[in-house]
Amino acid sequence: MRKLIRKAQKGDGEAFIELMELHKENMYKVACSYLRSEADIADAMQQTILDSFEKIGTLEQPRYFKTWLIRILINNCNDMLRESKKVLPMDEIREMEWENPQTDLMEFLDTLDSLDEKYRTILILYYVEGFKIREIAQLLKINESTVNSRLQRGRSCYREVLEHSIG
Amino acid sequence: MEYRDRRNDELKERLSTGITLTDTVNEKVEEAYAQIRRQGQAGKVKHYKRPRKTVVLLAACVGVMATSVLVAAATGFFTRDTQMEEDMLTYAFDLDYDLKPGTFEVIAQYIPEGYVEGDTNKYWPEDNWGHGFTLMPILNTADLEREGNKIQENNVENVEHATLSGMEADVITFKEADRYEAPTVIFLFNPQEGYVLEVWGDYNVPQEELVKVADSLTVERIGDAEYDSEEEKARAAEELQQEESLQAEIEEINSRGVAAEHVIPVGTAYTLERENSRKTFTVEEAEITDTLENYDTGNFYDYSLVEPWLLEDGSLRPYTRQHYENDTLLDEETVEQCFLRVKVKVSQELLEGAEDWDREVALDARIQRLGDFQGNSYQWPTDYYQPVPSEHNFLHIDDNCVYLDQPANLEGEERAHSFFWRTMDDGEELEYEIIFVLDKDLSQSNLALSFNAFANPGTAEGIFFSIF
Repeated sequence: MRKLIRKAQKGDGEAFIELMELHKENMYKVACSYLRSEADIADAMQQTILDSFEKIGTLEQPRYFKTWLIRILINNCNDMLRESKKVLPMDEIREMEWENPQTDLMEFLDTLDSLDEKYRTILILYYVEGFKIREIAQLLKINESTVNSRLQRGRSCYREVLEHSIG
Repeated sequence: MEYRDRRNDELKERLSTGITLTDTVNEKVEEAYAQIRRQGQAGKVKHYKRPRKTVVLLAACVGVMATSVLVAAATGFFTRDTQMEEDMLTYAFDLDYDLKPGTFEVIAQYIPEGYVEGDTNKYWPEDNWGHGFTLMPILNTADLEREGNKIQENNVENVEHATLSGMEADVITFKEADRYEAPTVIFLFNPQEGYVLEVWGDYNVPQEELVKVADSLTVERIGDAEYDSEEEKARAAEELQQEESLQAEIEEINSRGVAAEHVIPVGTAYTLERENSRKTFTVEEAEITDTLENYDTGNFYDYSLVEPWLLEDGSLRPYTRQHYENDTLLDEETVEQCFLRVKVKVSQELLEGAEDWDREVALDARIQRLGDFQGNSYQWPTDYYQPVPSEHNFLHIDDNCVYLDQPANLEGEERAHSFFWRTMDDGEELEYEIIFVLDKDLSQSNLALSFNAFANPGTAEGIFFSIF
């Protein structure tokens, strides 16, 4: 991947697209943890791809590419949230706006829905992106102990939901 | 395993399991890719792409050069072994892990006249935006380890050793630099401080100016860095595996070709079903023509790319193209160009719950050659053509159309991003024309047109209109 990053930094669009192909699924999952409409998620991803192509020359360390990319995505998601100011509950919105999701996506969204909003992004960054607590704290601009406690709480909430559903 | 751990594992599995992106998201992602390709095509952002294909025919003529230079500093962070085999230059590094890697900051004290800082450590001529030089991020020993303890450059024509900014340096030029508009690359090695610096110069930057830049660098160690832990190395290996598996997936999809039922004739309507809309596309007519008449220059996505090729009578000048088979250069020849005019009808039906997003329609398309028909599928050809880079012919790249007769977004950013997009209301119908540039001798191939509004080949909506 480092080679792709360095090629992309020299302006190789195809190398950059290959990088995006590698990361788009995880980007999508992170965006899902923030945004409630599929169209907003699509816009945030598109903007992130264009922003990161424009700015990739400024990335000093290719090893931080993923953190850097997710930071841009999170900024775009936050911008989108500020613009849309959508306040409807997630379930309702998803039913309205999600277009022909495949079963795997449905299952992912169901799992996400079972988690409280404030734990979703942290759990995605931890389990999907494989970020460390310190990295998540930097990304979300919150302190490490908050990340740690939300991670713990998010896990217990999930267990509680499961236990409740099992009866 | 404890109940709690099992649940945590289950949560991890559920969140990290593979998912299929929806068409809406895929469309937006593809649109972003198309913009990136167009920017590269127009040379507006960053121009040069190193020749991505190995030029086997020409390499054979150059001869074989094999040298090995071992530069061993008495003390330092690394020793370097330089190997030149045929046209592949390899620097192999032996690292001293007892010394702590650093982080560094580099500043060029000499900037050629007329160059401005376009981006961090990127300098471009004011009148040739994007075509300058870059001080690449410095590689410390931890970075070198991540690179597999080596740096490689292929297609190398010549390596000139020098001392620049007090460091051992190699000025690298590439084969057929003029033809491929190849860059010049300068590596500077500092084993005492533990870093390698790369100064990358676009083809348009005079080599003597690039050398002056490389000879004016000041580098400061600003902090410490760490070698990757075992955990980080495992993660990198996992990423590499993902990359390989994605590549295998792409190859598998390509090997399936295009199923016969996904190739439909001109005159057939195809409806793109969405939850909130139905968009119906019909290719009404396709015509090859040598000349273009009655066109509006503003309706070309970028007329400045077309103009140099247009003759007074509206026909196109011939150009030199290369023919590759499995990445091997077969031949090079001058060929004539022609236009393919395609008339399309699209209609919009908005359903209950449709939002602004659903009103947008991508009108552009790509034209591709289909290969042999085997079983029930058309195979993708293994050969391909591309203009010789120094021809500056950007009309064929990525097979996109170059003209739309009724663009709605004509100014500034809107033009750059949404030229081929149009907002259409419920019940609205539009008859429009798009124009491609083709190689005349390929115009009678098995050409297939795919709209960018549809999903990729290999998916249920990978529909192609057979043009001839």
